[in-house]
Amino acid sequence: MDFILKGISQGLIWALLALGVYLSYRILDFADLSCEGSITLGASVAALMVSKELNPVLALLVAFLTGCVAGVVTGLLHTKLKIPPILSGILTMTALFSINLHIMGSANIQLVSVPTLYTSITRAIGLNKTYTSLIIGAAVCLLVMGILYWFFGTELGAGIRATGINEKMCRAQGIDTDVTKVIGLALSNGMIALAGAFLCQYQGYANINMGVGAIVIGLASIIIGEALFARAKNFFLMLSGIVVGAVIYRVVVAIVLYLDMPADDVKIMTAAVVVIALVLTKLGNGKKTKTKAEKAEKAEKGKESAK
Amino acid sequence: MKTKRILSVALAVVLMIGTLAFTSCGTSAPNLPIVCGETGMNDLCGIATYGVDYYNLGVKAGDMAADILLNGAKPAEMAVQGDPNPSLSVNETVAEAIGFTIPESVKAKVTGGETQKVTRVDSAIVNDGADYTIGILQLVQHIALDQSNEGFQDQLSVRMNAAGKTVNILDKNANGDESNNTTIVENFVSQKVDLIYTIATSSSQAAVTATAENNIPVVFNAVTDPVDAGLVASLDAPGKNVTGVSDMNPVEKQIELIGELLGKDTVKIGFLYTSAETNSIMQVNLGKAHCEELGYTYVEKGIVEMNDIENALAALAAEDVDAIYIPTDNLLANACALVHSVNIGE
Repeated sequence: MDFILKGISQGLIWALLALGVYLSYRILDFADLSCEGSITLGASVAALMVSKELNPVLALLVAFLTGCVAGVVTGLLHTKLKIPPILSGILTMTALFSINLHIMGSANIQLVSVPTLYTSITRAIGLNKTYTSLIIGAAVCLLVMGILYWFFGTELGAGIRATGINEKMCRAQGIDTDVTKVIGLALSNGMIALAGAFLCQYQGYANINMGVGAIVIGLASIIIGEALFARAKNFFLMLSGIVVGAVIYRVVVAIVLYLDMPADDVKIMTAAVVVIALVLTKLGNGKKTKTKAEKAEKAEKGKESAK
Repeated sequence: MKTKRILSVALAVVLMIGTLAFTSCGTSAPNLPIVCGETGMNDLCGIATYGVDYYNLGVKAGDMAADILLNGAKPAEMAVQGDPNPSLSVNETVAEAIGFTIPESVKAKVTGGETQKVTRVDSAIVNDGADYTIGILQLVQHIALDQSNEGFQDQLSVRMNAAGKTVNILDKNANGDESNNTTIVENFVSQKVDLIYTIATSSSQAAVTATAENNIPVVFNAVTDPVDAGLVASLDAPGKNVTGVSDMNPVEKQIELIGELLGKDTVKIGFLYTSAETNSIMQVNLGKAHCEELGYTYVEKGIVEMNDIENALAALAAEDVDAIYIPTDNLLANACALVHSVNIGE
């Protein structure tokens, strides 16, 4: 069962990425593909700092901020140069490949022989690495979810949410949607870079190819999370759904890799298990989920009774 | 307004013609002699090379693993091994296709033929009730890495059989997905394997991180610079639970081979490699340094993805290089067939 716990602690790191992708893809309704570049960006920056034996927590913060800068670039490409969302993301991702190589100085930085966040905390609190990383992951996810919950309740946060729902209406209300988009993308990419910063310290190296497939993990986590919490109206519950989705995805991968099967079939099995998980949750929810009309009717009745 | 529009149309036309002219330059076949970093690549696109044999490196790693398990050898004290005597192989098919004649003096040096394979003892590898359990983590499917996996398993089965023991081998592949490296080694740790064999640099780094607390012995292979990768403290005394085999190819010997093949004292070499791969950059740097010692000239073309190969070859041909050197490079190893077909203009 130990490997499940380890799958969960990896999932909690990927949850930060999933939350970042959720922010752009769902809240802002902006299909941002720069994700694969920004997770490697966060990892490169953090790995460079940690390998120079700077404070690992400081490395996390700097990684978050550089991720934000990448998000701002995508945002400006879209809002100022009028490049379509998907292409802006792809352009940033492509450019980041070179930038990441320059930051790292080579394709791989090892963090095996230097103290990382995980090794230092493990040593400080005396638990083994599995539990330490579970605690760190859970604490960071709760903290980030709390901050997001608060932020999207503020006027600016509500503006970002509104931009994703109806951009024209937003502008009619006097919200500068260019600004809300850039801020939303900055926050999204910052969180994805933060995930990269945690990931490189967890696995003991940063590699130029570590972002490959990140967008798939992010989207799969979101879809699993939404399938599980299909009826959630509470924003905090939605965010928890995403985190749980990421954890489930990584645990599924861990189980598939644990099973005895030909190496060549691992990818197709991962896909198949995710499909099965989705179908099962859909079937389970299918009967309970009310149609929009029913929901509207109920809301109407609620209002009447309130009067 | 109108002049502006005409100007921009004119600019676009000029650009298009320019691009067309540029690409049409590259359509004639380069037909350049290529020397690769390793024999597997040489078989597909090179004319000759001195190569470390990944199968033999795998056999060596299998021996190290057997010493650790059966004889209680300490990885901390076992020096990192390499291939001491790389063998020369020539590829007449490719040479013929590009219209190159390999000098008799070089052919005379070819000693070995096919790799001498160790016969695997199947009865020593069992699934249940084995004396030892071993986890193998390979980063990605690829000729050289597959060979080092095969050689390891063959030799380990022979050693286990000789000692009257059995082994259960958990053979896993990360399918090129870096995030799976950590998951796979953590699974091995949970399963309490007796030894982990890792093939390629990042897989080895993930294994070192995951075994820091439990000291499960790790034997790595296909790592070019284990010290730089943080796997061992030094090649002679690794220092912790990790040791293994380095696949450093004899770059200097290979560069000298180019001179011998061409029968010239000064040659111009074009280095073709993936700029994102640490190992490739290191080999190219070694190669460039040796070129300077020998008085050879060189140009280099770093590529990012497979689509760049055609342009890179055309650019090198346009620079009038005498031959191309491709280091041991993951991306190019997978694209050897493509390199060859572009080279002969198919």
